[in-house]
Amino acid sequence: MTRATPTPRRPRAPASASQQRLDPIGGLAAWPLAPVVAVIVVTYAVVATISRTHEIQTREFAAAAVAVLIIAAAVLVWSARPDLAPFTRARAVVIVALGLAAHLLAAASTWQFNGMIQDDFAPIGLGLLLLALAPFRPFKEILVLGSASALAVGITALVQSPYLSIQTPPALFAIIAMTQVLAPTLGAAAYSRQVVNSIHRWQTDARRAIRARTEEDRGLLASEVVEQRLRNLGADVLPFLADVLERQSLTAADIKRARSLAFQVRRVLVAEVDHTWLDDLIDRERINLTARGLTPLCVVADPERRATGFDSDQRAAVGAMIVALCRLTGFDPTSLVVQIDGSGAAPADTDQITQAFGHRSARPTPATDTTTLAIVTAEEQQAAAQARAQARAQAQVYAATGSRTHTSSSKTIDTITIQAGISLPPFQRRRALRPYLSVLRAVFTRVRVASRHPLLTLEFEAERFQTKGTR
Amino acid sequence: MSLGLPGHLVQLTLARALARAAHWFALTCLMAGAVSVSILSLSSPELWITVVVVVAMGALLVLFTRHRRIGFAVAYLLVGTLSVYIFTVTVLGVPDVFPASNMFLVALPKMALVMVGGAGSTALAGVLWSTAAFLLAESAAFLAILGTEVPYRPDLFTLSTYVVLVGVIVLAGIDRRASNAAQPAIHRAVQDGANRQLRDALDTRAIALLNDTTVAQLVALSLAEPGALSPGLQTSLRDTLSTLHDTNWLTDIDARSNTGPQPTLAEKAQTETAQAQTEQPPSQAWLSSAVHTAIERCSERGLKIEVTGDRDALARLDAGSDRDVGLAVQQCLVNVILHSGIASAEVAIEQDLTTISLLITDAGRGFTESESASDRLGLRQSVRRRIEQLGGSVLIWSRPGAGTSVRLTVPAAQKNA
Repeated sequence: MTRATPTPRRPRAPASASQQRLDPIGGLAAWPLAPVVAVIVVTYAVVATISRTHEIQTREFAAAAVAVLIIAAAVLVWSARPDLAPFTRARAVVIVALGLAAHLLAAASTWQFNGMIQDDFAPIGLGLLLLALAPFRPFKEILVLGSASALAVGITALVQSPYLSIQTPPALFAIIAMTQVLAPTLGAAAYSRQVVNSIHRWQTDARRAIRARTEEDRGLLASEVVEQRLRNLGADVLPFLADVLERQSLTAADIKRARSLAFQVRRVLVAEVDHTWLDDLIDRERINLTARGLTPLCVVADPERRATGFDSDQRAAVGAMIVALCRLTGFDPTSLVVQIDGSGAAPADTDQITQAFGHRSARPTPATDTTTLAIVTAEEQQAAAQARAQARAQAQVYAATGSRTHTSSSKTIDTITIQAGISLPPFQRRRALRPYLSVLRAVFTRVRVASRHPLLTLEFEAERFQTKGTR
Repeated sequence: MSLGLPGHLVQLTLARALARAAHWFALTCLMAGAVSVSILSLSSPELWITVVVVVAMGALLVLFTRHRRIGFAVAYLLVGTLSVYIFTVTVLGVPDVFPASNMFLVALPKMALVMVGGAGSTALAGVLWSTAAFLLAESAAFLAILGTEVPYRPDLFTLSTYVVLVGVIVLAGIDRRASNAAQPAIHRAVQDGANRQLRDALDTRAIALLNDTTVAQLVALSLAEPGALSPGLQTSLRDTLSTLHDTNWLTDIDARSNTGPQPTLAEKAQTETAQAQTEQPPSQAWLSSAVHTAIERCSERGLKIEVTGDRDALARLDAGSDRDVGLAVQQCLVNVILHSGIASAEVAIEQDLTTISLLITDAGRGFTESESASDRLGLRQSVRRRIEQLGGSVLIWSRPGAGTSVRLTVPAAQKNA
């Protein structure tokens, strides 16, 4: 036994949080609960039905009750499968509804001939199904579903009470039947609440620690950034400026030099600005692979810089997955491709000028002074414009077909595709990547895994409702 | 929210959650038992004792839940065993009600007792506690049944509760070594992300600053006439060099109020400074704001700037926001100087309860989307990123031949009524 240590109050976890959502890797460990419960429920239902054949009046109803309960158990196992995560509310409702249907069918099958309420299999089966929801659903939902089921079970018990063999007050039967549902429900809800609060507390602390550690490094990072910036500035810019200042005069050659330097510096700066966190990540993995004596060829195709729209959890999940892929034994260093495209607008940036009434055809002549400063080549401009036009066209197609855009045009879907060649037996590969996939499933939607040995393709989607501006 | 529990916390967390679940399960059983025997005691008054023992068990359980001490666990176990005996013997002793001993009602206190094992801090302890409770409960019940008339039938309810509880405890105890390596990797990725974000924020600042200083300086030089350096150019060159040579420019930026470029195109400044400040005397808040400084500088470079709207609103910005807004406005005005082909611009300041907006308008050449790439560094880095880092937003309207409007909106301190 451990003694509870008093912990200070911290912000409560969101009401929709479940163990599986908050801690997908921990949720993986909880998944065997579902098949175990399913086996118990089904076995008990079959045994209880066979041992009470003398009470059964309508065989069809009895068979249907067992069949429906088996379906409920199957849905539970299917819903809890890690590769089909997250366990949604709809799944939980379906499972409980099927359990209730089985209960009603079973009650109908022994109508007027039920000897005892306590050995009905359905309330206990329903209770166990609710118990199995604990790692997957928030506690309030378990409470609501459980209370509703208990109410239904209690009412059926009351209705049956005149025909039962034991003569006690009818309320007693209702209490007995309801307890069989309520006890596991309250247990499951208490588990869910406690686990979610603990995880949330740890996450709050961990985030605080990460922030503090990052702030500690601020000075170091700042000087690194300054150093890198000055290095990228080129060795000659500052001496050139100093030289001009010292001479107190400008020659035609100086002016020409200033122009070309301005051109160069801006080109470097623009390239830096276009860099996203994903490029950084791949760059670093490339360096690591090179350090291991391999010749990596890793491609990032994110022409619209959609990666910038990801939040920190999504970045972490993708980052961890890519790092895990790159460090897997049997990873083919020339095979990694990360591609992001999608429908709707790319994250906000200056590229998207709000064109109030503009037409591209009406082009003014650029100022002669600044033509030298145009650092993006015509091809690049064209490519970017083409990509944008393509994205717009795609968005229009999606909007027209209505296949993915559910609500309004402000919703954006980014589709991320990660492809890598891994020469590892499928079983080992699955085992190694399972935790990372579970995390991906927690923060992205429609995670799909396709594999044509040795090529592994992960595809998943991010929904954005508003754009963010950080890199 | 992908930051899962680290290995060393999993055990403790799951143990606590299981304890909670077990306590609630037990409490439900006891409450159901108490209500049931209360109802029964209406017709059989001798059952009052069972109500007392169930309530006593419940009280001990609550005490044990609040203070998880081993003493309470032992007390719960002993009192519970005694309670099970009294409960069974009394309930089954009521004549002609219960046909056999395996009643769910009789199993209720036993199931509650078995749940004591859920509070074990390790899987082994949990299994041992619940086994002890199960054996004690079943023995007490067996002894009690021998003393009554009803025939003995094995109680499958308590047995299956015990089996399920032990199963769950064991499941929670063994299944955590599988994915231990991934959790630290996720944690590392989150830390990496945080570092990268800070680095990017610093980088954004650095690039904006370099654009404001070095590039602006080089552009100014490239646009100057050959010959002696003008005094304006000299000062701005000196300022840029001293800014960049001071290696702490990035961290010091917060303390500095004056990091923007100095007036560079002074020699081209033929037009008169014309700030529309004539109608009313300028307030101190306006004069000390960075936006004012930026407008002054660009006026020195020959731009005719008309300021309208509520200037004192800028006092609602804190020092950092004020500096960044000033630099962003300056970049917009520099763009007007460099690209619009016109020498006048308008700055309109508006405010509402929570934000301040600045609209910088010129009637110049304008630009198209594709063309904007040529100067996206200035707009993107020095204007948009800066404002977005303040939590604000930037809207740009432009069309060739019809001028450009840039609207900067930034959050500000709540407006006083």
